Amino acid sequence: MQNAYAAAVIQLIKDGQDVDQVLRGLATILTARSHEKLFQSVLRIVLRTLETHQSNDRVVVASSEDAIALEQAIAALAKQGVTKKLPTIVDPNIIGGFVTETNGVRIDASYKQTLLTLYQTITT
Amino acid sequence: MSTALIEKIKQQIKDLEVDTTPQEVGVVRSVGDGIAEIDGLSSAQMMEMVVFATTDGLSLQETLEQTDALYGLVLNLEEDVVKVVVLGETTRVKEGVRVMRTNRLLSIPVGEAIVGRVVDPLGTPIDGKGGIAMDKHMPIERVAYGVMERSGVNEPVHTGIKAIDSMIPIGRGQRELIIGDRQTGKTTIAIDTIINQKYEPKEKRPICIYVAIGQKRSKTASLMAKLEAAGAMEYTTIVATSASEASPLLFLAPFSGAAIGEYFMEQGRDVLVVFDDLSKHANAYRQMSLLLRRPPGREAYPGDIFYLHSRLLERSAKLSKELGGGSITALPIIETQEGDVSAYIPTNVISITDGQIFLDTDLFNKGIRPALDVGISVSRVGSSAQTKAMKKVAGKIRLELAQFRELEAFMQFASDLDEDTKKRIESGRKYVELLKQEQNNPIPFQKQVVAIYAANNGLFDDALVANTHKIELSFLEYMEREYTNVLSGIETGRELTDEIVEQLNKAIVGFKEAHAQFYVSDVV
Repeated sequence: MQNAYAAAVIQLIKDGQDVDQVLRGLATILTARSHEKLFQSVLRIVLRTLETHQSNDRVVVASSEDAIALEQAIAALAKQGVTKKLPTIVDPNIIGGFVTETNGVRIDASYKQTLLTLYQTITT
Repeated sequence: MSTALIEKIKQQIKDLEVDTTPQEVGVVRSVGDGIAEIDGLSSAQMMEMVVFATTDGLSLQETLEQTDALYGLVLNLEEDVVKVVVLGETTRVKEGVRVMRTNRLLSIPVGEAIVGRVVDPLGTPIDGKGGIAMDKHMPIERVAYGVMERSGVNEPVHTGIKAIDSMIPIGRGQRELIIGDRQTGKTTIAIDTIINQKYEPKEKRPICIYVAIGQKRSKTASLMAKLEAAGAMEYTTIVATSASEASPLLFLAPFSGAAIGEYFMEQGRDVLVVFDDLSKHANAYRQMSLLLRRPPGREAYPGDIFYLHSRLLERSAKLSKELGGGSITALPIIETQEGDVSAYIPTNVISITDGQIFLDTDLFNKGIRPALDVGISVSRVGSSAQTKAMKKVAGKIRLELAQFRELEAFMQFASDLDEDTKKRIESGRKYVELLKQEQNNPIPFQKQVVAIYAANNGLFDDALVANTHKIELSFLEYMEREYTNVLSGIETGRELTDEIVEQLNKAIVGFKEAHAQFYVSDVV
């Protein structure tokens, strides 16, 4: 039951509803249905889900000065309809290029992945 | 480094494009007992392969040092989570690791070069003989061929075991269950059948696939050595999963074997697949289902345990001429506990297969090996799968043994029996001796026909029961020496013509005259 409540709350928040209003609405509904005891567990599920989804959205570049890679990443995100600014993470291990992750979709245009693909093509 | 190789690499670098295809990605929420719970992947399909990005955060060099990509198999699609079984080392999966869809259902790479090799259920070679050149990917799970795409089973698979080929004949495209307690010779029958295929002409010889499910590695290694020594590895593939491997791999092993078989069947060739054994397969599936929190049913097996084996065994078929006429013959093995064939899994598989070979511990301990209980073993395909020659000689042996079994109870009163009954008992005991056979010593069908014909026509008359085996061996040697044309005539023509019958009768008389030392009657 708490999963159903949590799913409804998460959907409302994702649709852009005010978080405070949604949570007040949740408390009202739980009280009306005598489900007050579920409040804490519902909140826990909502927080964990939002944290997971939030932490997934990001842009990874090899260096903070690689403006070209950042521009390409923004262009790739725009193609997907994503215009909001995502947190940028610097990971030298990708060597160059970019990796974006948002809304459960990943684009890996890093030099590391490209070189790996080349290695696999040559060696198989 | 050769110029050709340098040119190839240059071309590949030139053609290389940075891939900006969006991929659906999920995140591991939790992992334990070989099952990973994934957040995301809302469009994942059932039985789809996913790949764990275990190399995120590692340098290129560290990534190259990691040998294989780690795959998973989607098995539960729940409301807010996708459960994936990890097909490899679970220790490589951590919370927060990304998981990407591959957009393809689980498949195994197959090619001609897989014959003679030992592979795991994902097609990776494990025999240390290097990589395998693959031709295509065959789906591991697949719907079986329909009714109209099949034809009748009418060609024999010769096991090389007299008791089976004469009374429980197996045809190409049939499913024949081998069932019995532990250490009764089930695997031996399967291995002897594989070895016996070397006597088939190359163009008609079936490709053999032995699927070891949860076997000890030492046992698989010794089986492989036996097959190599007999020259059978030339046409055999082994799909091996050991007892220490994760249950998802044990679950996949027989399906991988079937997929490899389908590759050859669709080329019009015949295939023999041995599943050793499906009891361990059922246990692995139960373990996996309980870990996936699927509701347990009878004996804690999941509700679809019957469907697990029925969809596997239905993939054995004899295809119609329009589809190439290839076939897959399945020899599933089931281990019973204390001879209980009415247990859950044995009854399931008995109802699916086209017959069963029962191996009895009491018979084994009495020295009757192979320990076939002929009374309750059956082949539902029957004589349609026998050569004309074998059909002609096998009828009498079954009748003799049936009568012998009825009279066995009276044997303790031997002194009180009439002459006719005593003769029947003695004849039955000689047939029982005739059907005994050494391990890993399959006999080509033409020699079986000759031996049984001779037994039906007085070869063992006036001889001691204890001499039966010696007489049989000597007679076969005699036939190889003096009547090679008869053996080759039966081998090529596959029937007993009048001419062959005449020569056989002459051979029996000639043998008895030349080997009088074997013929001292013990009937008083």
